[in-house]
Parts: sequence; C-alpha cells; structure tokens
Amino acid sequence: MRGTACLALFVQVAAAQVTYDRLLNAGKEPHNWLTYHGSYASQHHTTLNEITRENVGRLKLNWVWQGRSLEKFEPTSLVVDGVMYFTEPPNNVYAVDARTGRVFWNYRHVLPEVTYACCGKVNRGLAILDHTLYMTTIDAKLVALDARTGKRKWEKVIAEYKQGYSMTVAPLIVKDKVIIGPAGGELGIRGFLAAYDAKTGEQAWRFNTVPQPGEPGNETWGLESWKYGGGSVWLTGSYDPELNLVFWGIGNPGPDWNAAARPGDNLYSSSVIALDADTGKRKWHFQFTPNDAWDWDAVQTPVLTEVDVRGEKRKVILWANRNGFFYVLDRATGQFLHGKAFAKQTWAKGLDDSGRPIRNPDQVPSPQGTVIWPGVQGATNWYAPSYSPVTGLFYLSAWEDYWSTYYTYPQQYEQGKWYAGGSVKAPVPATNREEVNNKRSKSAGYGAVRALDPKTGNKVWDFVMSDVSDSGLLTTATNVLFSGNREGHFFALDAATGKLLWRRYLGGQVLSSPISYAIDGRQYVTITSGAAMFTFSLHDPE
Amino acid sequence: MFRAQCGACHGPGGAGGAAGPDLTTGTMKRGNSDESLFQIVSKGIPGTPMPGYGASAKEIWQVVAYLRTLSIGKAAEKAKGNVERGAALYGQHKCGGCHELRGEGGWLGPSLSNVGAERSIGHLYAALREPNRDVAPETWRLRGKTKAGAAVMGVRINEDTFSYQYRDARGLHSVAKSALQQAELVTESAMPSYSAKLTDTEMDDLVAFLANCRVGGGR
Repeated sequence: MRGTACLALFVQVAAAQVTYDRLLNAGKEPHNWLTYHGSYASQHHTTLNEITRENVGRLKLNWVWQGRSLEKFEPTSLVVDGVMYFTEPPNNVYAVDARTGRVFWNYRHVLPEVTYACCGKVNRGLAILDHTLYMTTIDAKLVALDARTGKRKWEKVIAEYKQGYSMTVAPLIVKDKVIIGPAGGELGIRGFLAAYDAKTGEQAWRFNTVPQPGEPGNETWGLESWKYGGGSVWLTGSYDPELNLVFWGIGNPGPDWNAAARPGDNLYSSSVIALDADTGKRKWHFQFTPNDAWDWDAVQTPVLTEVDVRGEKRKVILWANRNGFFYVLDRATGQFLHGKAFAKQTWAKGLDDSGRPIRNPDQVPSPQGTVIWPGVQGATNWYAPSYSPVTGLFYLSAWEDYWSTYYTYPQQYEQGKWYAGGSVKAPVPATNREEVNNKRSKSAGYGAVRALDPKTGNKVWDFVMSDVSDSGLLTTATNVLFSGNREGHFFALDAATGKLLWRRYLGGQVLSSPISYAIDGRQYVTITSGAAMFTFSLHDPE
Repeated sequence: MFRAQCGACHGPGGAGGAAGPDLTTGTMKRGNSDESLFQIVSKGIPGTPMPGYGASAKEIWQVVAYLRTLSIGKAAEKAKGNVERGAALYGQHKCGGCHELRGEGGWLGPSLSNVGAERSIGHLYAALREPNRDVAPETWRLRGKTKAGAAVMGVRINEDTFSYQYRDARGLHSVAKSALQQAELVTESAMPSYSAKLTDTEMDDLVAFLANCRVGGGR
C-alpha cells in the first residue's frame, strides 16, 4: 500500500513531455497553463469551473513563495502536470510543486555588472517544449534549461547587450521554433522578431521591426533615423495555427519624444505585425500610432477571437492600445474593422476609415511641455487583457483620466546611453516601487477594470479603483474575473456586472497575470504581489 | 549629460518626472553626501527604476556637481527679515497650534522642521499670503461620517480603493470606505491668510525665521 502511494506521488510530480501538439491543444488541458498567455489565442480565460461566483468568497490561501529580489516581479507562471515554472528577476528560474509551493530546483543566470535595461531588470516568464524551458536574459541571451533538473542545456547570444540591447520577453514556441525579440527602445536599438531552432538555438528567421535599407518600410524613416529606430519586442505575441501567422505588438520608435528627428510613419514601430511562422515573412501589418511622438509602444497582448461585425462572423484580433483606442482587426488581412477611444484622450480627433488616427496637431511634446491625455504609460499597457467567450466581453486594466506633460529636445545618439529625445512628467508615477502612500486625487488619474463590448467598443461596466493597475486579468467559464492592482489588492469580480465578490490585501503591487490550474480536481489561482507569489483554492492546503 | 540621461525620468530641470523624484529640494532622501550621490549615480538603487551608469568617474562627479547646483538657488537665497523677531512672531501667532516644528506642535498643517530646505523664499511668502493657491495633497483633510453616526475629521495620509488612513489629534486611524455613509476630501487650506495680520516687516521676519528652519540646524 505504501509502495503504491509513493509511486502515485512520483508520477504526479514528474512532468510529462510538452509536445507541440499539446501546445496547439492547450484548451483541452485547462488544468495546465502551458504558455505565457495560457494558449495561442491569448484570451487569458480558463474553462475550469470549480470556483464560481457563489463560492469565490470562500477562497483560502494555500501557499506563498517569497522571492528575494528587489526588482519588479513580473512573471506569469507556467504549470505543467503539477509543476510550476517561473522566473525570479533578473534571470533566476524556479520549479516548484504547484500544490504546495515547495521548491524542486532553481537556476541562477550570471549577468554582467553593467547591463542596459530601461525599466528594471525584469523578466516576464518562460516557454516550454518537450522537456526544455526557454528564457531570455537581460544580457540579450536565449537560455535553454532541462525542465527536469534545472541544468542549462545551452545559451545563445542573440544581440550585443553593450549596444543597449536587453531581453525581457517570455518566448513563444511555434512548432520547433522559439520566437523572441529584444528590448531597448530607449537605447537606440534596431529591433527585430526572430525564430531560433528549439534544439540547437540556430536562427531560423529574422524580421527587422525597423527595416534596413532595401527592406519595405525603410523609406518611412527620414534623416537615416532607422539606424537607432527602436522598434522593441518585450511582450509575447499570439499565433493562429490555421493561418500559420504569429501576431506581435512592436514598441515605440526612438528617440521617444523627438518625432522631428525621424520624419515619416516609422514602420513598424507602434504597430502589430503578422508574420508567417515558418519563414518570418510579413503577411500584413497595422500601425496604431504612426510617427509616434509619445512612447506609446503597441506592446499589448493580441487577443484572438471571433466577433460579429455588421452581421458577419469574422476572425479578429481585439486590441486595447496604449494610445487610448480600442481596435478590432481582421486577423487574416489586417483590415481595420472598427475602433474607438476607450479612455480619455486628447491627441487624436478620432480614427479614419482605415483606422489611421486623425491627430490634433498641437498635442505633441514641446520644449516647454505639453499636457496630453493619455499619459506616457498609456490608457493601458502590456498587462494582459482577457476575453471571455461566455460573456462575449473584452476586459482590461484601464488608466482613466491619466495625463502627462511631454517635453522634447534634440539629442545625439551615444552607444549604451539613453536616446529618448525628451522627458515626461506625470502625477501618476511609472511604478510604485518607491511610493507607499497614495496621496493623489482622482483628477490625477485613476485605475479601473473596464469591460468593453467588442462589437461596438462601448464600455459595458467599470470597476473603479483609487490607484492605477499594472495587473493582468483572468476570466473563468463561471464568470469570475480575477485581477490585482498597484495598491496590493487581489480581487474577484462578477465578469457580467463588475460587482466585487472577494478580495485580499497582499501588500505589494501586482505586476503579472493571474493564472488558474488544477490538480486532482482542485482548482488553484496564482498571482504575484510585491516580491512574492500567492496561490489560493477553495480547499485547505495539504 | 543630465538632461539626456537623467531628464527622461527626473524631468528636464530635475524637479521630478514620471519615474524619478524631485532632485532640487536640497535634501536627497537616499543619502546627502557627495559620496552617496556618486554611489547612487554609478551603481543605481536596486529595486527601483534608478539604473547605474557605467560612465567614467570624472563624468559622474560632474553630474554630482551639477546636482548640487540645482538646489543652490534655494540654499543661496537670503531672506531679508530678522530671524529672532520671526521666532517670536511664530509663538505669538500660535503657528504651533497646527504645525509641528522640531518635535513640538500640531498635526493639521505640514511639518515645518525642514521647510527652509524644502521651499523657496518665494513659496514661503506665497503660503502666508495665499495659502489656498497651492495646497499640497499631503495636507488634504478627510471629512465624513460613519454609518454609526460618528464624525471623521483628520489629515488624509493614505488612501486605497477600500479604505482611508488619516491622522487626528488622537493619533492614527484606518477606516473602511464601506463603513462611511459620507466622505469628502477637503482640498482647501485650513490656514487663513496672514496678509492682513502681519505688517510687511513682520512678514519678512517670519519668512526669515521659516527659511532658517532646516534639519541639522539653520545657517
């Protein structure tokens, strides 16, 4: 009897191979969370149904994992057959028992003393294929680890970090390739999206997000500004297996606030690109913010679903952009179907019929400073929205009535130094790592969990908060919506109405997306807050 | 170098930006010595967005020297009044009834123990003449009533989606928003204007006294 129980326990915690087939069909194993966004459609939705609106008020804390890093804790975990994998910033990897939080192994990547990350040495998470975990690093490497032992299999230098390149993105695995890109939009990099062989790390293809001379789009960078154009990649994209297209949001053009230094649309910055997953060739692109003067990276989650558009069912991407507009695009062609502002914005009169913004000409950075809505962090940003197939609604963390004063000045590029061509002042800080007290008023900007109707872009409900939120969202098949906020709350709302159902004060800012998984029929929900990770379920911990 | 590397976060003049605090107050929270500033600029502050700069030691000392000039304006200002007469006026007008100074005084207004380093002379005159012109959020008051009928009145020191934290004469309090039947933030200053209560000379003397209120002693 004892022998059989031991064997059962061993089988339970040994991770089975994560084949590409399993990634393709992630929806069929809702008890696991196999990719950064949960599945290729990136809906941040779970079909697990043990937790409901009626019982979520009885959630219990099951375990806490405490990190020891002072860097912002932004990873969204993977869960594979009872083992949870995540990164601790800057580039440490942990495998823990998803039931109890007990550590199996950890890996520490050694970084050089001086590196070039704009906004903290963060890491957003891992990808897994077969028995290999993949991580990008602050010194612009791709590292492959054995998921069973935590031992490094190989690492590959992807870009020269001393030239201002870093990597923070959780990779996306498609077939036998690992797809990643560099950060560094404020350091004059030339961005790209590239695929590497999952076994060897050899480059399979590369797409320049800032096109080189001779490549289409290079002509949209006047004054040879393509040389330090930015176009970073710092959030994981989505994949449509039927179209065989990867969709990716691209960062701001550089210098951030001196658009006069780069006349032209600056393709493919602040755009979504759709590339053939096998060849990396561009199928289509859509630019949200041409000649972006505000640092409004289009680095958001491409949410794939089907929506009724004028009586016809279309395969779309839903996109709430940092620039304050919500877009619905046909994902086969990139055609703009409709869009409208989802938060207060003053920089554009609206969108024309092709989705291009009609700008207010004086709402640009100036030497003496211009007040513009939304502020530099955007009306929303990289933290994951959620689409619920049950309610048909699209949910996001919105920064409402949030503005900044934007300044511009000319600047020469110097390797390894900030190349932003200006600065910004905002009453709401970029992060609350320093601030422990919120002494602002609503007129400085506030946060809300906002539900939009994808058919119209209209707001359906708001859950209004005092401070803003950098937290991702998760919806469940039972209409529970989980999110956190900068104040340190983790809470559950009714996804149909926005009513608050449950909350816990965890004490640290929430900078990742909640995930849900199950083991032996028990549903768990995990979130990070501060430098720790918390897991809840309806059951007493074991 | 400051404007290009530091300005993006600390603002073009160093007075605070979207990610970095005000560097012009004359008091650096993390360490005020030249050595501390050198360490912070070269190594950064772990756990915050402040990165380290791999610039040469000479370049970093240049930045530190420049940082000092940002607050020299305030430090070099000389108030024209008489500090001793100003101290007497402070007592006579019972400013300590609302303001804390060197450990003594009230809680309704901001502490004045370091106001000489934190505020320019011009600001001190303006605060005495037109206190409502620039009321800092730190001084806003919470006024309301609990569902049980008890009055709530104090200086708001923190707020989140579900609660307020405030301070009154009795001490520190935390109250759930759901426990309040009514609540408002009073953003007008509780301080009256002193334009009519002080002669020009007295105003100069009081400002001179306040300009001399610095942690670590006046000049």
